[in-house]
Amino acid sequence: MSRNQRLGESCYNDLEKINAELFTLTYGALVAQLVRDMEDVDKVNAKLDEMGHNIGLRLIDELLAKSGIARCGSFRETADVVSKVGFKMFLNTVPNVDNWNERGTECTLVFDDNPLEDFVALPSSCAGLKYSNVLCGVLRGALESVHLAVACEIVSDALKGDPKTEIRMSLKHVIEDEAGEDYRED
Amino acid sequence: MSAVARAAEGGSARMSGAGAPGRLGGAKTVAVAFVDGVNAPLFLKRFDDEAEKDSLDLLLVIHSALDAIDELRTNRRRGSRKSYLGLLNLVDGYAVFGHASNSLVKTMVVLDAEACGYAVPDDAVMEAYLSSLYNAYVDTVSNPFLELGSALQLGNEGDEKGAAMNEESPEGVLIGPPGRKTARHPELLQGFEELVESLVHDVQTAPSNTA
Repeated sequence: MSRNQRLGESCYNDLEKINAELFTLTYGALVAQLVRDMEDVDKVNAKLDEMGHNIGLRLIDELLAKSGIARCGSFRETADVVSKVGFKMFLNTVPNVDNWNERGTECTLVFDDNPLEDFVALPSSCAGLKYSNVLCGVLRGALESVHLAVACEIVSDALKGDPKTEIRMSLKHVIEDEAGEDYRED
Repeated sequence: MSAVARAAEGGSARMSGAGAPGRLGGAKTVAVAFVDGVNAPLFLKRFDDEAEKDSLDLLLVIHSALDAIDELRTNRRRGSRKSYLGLLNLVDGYAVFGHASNSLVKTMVVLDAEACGYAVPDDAVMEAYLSSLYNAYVDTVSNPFLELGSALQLGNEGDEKGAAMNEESPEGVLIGPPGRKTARHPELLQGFEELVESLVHDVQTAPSNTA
């Protein structure tokens, strides 16, 4: 077992747990309510991404605190930590990281098992709904806090008949450590 | 994988784990029915050859079984809290077995008792059978997009059943709240129907547990 895998398992074992069905039903109720309230599937997708972003900004500190993970040397290492430590700790599922591009800046997370989507079947009126879009937001928010600007997109969705849910993660650029506008001297 | 596909493959963690119930000893499943807490019909499917025929005879048998359920639940001893209720009714050559959850969602299976010489399968087999049907219901209803309170089945088998399922019946054959909503997303329910069919099929064809 690799070091990150061991770390992920030990963190998962030490954390408090909640019932998986409660979590799945809660998320399901949330998405269903958003669909009813907003009626426009694209708006729901954007909202889920925004919510995920807010979660990610906070979740990263939780990850860093509980796992004690050190700096990652490359985006490959980052992806490895995200899947084996992050997803393991919070969702008890380890997506495979695969389909790397040449420069090592883009990869796909392939989920064998996605607890958010248990027992869900999409009605035809929600054909464009990205049900797990909150995960894309979480990834974006969490990595932004560690100065990596990534774009995440669901490229394959088990709820729409694809075999597995897959998220494509691409590193856009490293965020420079910039002081805010107020502190600029010119 | 959708929940329905997974459950059909026996992969859902909530399916009864005792293994496929043995054959029903020659008895055939005539129908499966689900009725909700206010005794409004949720789902009814005939499995015998007379699927084209009017289902009113079955509705009568099932309706009388509902009374048996109410009686059993009020009269049962403090200790026994089982959801499985056993044989509810034996009339017209039909044997009705029932399962009622604490939320009063009733699952009933009608067997053709006459054809098998009234040798109905024993409780262990029926309990596993009804549990697997109830679990299929729970899995389907766990879908956040499915509106609860609407029928789990469209009245697609002819107008009479449609009328009976979806409106207040004038003769009171079915008691239900007036203006019962039809399901908004029919495609979500197709999976449920297929799941029930596959469960019934498995029970009829699985090898018997007794060697």
